[in-house]
Amino acid sequence: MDMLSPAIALQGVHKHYRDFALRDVDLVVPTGQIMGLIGVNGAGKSTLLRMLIGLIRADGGTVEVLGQRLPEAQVSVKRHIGYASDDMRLYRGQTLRWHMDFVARIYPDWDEAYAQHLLTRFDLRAQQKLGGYSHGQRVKALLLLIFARHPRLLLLDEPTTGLDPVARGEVLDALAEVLRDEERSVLFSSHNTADVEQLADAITFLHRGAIVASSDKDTFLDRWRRILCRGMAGTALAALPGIASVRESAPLIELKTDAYDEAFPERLRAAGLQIQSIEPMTLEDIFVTAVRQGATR
Amino acid sequence: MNLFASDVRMVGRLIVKDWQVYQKALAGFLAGIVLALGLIGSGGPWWVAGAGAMLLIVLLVVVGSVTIQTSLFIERKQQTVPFIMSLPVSPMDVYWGKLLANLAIFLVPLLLVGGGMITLILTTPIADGLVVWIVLSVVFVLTTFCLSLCFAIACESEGWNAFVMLGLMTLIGPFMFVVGRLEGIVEHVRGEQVVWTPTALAILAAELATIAVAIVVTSVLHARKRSFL
Repeated sequence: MDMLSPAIALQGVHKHYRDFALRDVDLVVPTGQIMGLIGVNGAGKSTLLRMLIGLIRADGGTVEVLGQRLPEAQVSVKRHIGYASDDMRLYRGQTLRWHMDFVARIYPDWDEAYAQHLLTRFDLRAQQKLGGYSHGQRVKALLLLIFARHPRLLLLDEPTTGLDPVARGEVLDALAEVLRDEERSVLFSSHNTADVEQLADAITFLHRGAIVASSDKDTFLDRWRRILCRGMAGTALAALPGIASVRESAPLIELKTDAYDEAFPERLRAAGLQIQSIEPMTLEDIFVTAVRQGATR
Repeated sequence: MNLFASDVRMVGRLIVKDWQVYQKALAGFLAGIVLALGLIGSGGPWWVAGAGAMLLIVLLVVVGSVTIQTSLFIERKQQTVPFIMSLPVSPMDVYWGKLLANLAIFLVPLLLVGGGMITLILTTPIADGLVVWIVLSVVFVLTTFCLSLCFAIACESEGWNAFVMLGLMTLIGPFMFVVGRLEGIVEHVRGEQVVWTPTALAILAAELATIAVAIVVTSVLHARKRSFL
């Protein structure tokens, strides 16, 4: 397994279904990066993650995970991947201990001591059948089965969906603890921007099967601004680069930009606008604006 | 295309996994089969033996149906399939694991029924010639199970699977009736010798060939898949 390659490298990947298409996806996740994949339901997040574990074959383009082509090398790659999706369930009639033994027989790197630590950390009873677990406990059981074998790459598809706030907080805390390992790469999808903002150090927005923006989290937060101005939104404003949205509500104009820097206010003044306020944007606001911007391009 | 491109150890683990998941349900069926065999061999009035034989056939048909239902359809419904697919397995590993696990699970009650019936026949005053008819009937039940299993693996539609499974089940009674009256078999059924006539051997060969063809066709179809979904 190539240790120097990026954890994930997608180039020109596309996949067509009758009602949906993943279009020309280029994406690189370097080793050690935690990337959050944000998109609304039906954006293509699950399709993309399934492709990254070899469950789905792309119609075109190349999919490389941990330096190997998929789906051809899916068996060897999956030895180093921990994959969990919100539609994945464990056997209801079997105990967590049975699942742990089953997984331990398959993965030589199974760490029983760490599994015991996680049992305590997640407050799970190994001898209890999964049928008696709450949804939050089932998610934690699944994460335990993944974490205890120390995968090099984690692919988590909506890991916090359907969890109550307490369970969600516990799962996010546990994820944050596990993700401190700098050798481990993570791609996790969510439509909850707060989860992504809490965990990720890079973010990709996916919408209608296409990537509309991808960057590290700090760049997103640094470059996106909401600016309130007074004046006329004339041709000078329209010619400014990096304007993601303009909303007029006389006498105010609300601008959103994805190219904010120190010189940006001066460019606005040169366009005849008086700046009232400049505010950072939440990731959710950035996502919604980026998606609308992508949809109108 | 390589039909056997599988990791034998991984397939073995998947078979053991299915065995462990369904062993409790299987134990219940086996207890029922032992009870039915006890009724047949009890030496009581004819209707007790008849009830035992009926129970035996019903249990065998039901255990086949339940095995396929639980290991394929209920797994799909309960969404445990993504968990298995996320393991370091290929589509052919999962295919062989499912096929062989189902066969292993079904062969236990089938062999208990076949072996139990043959033992009863050979150790009681029942005519030994009946063994041939029993073997042909038991292998026919295995054939219908294999056809249902192969169809269930190849086709995810529950409606079509129910149709095929029920259709094949309804053939078991007529098969036993017709074969029991076929020339080359009927004349030896009440005899004290186990006689494998060319007719009996031809039927047995046809049954085994049907099983082999069903498995090969399903395997070829599955081997063409290069990813799970």
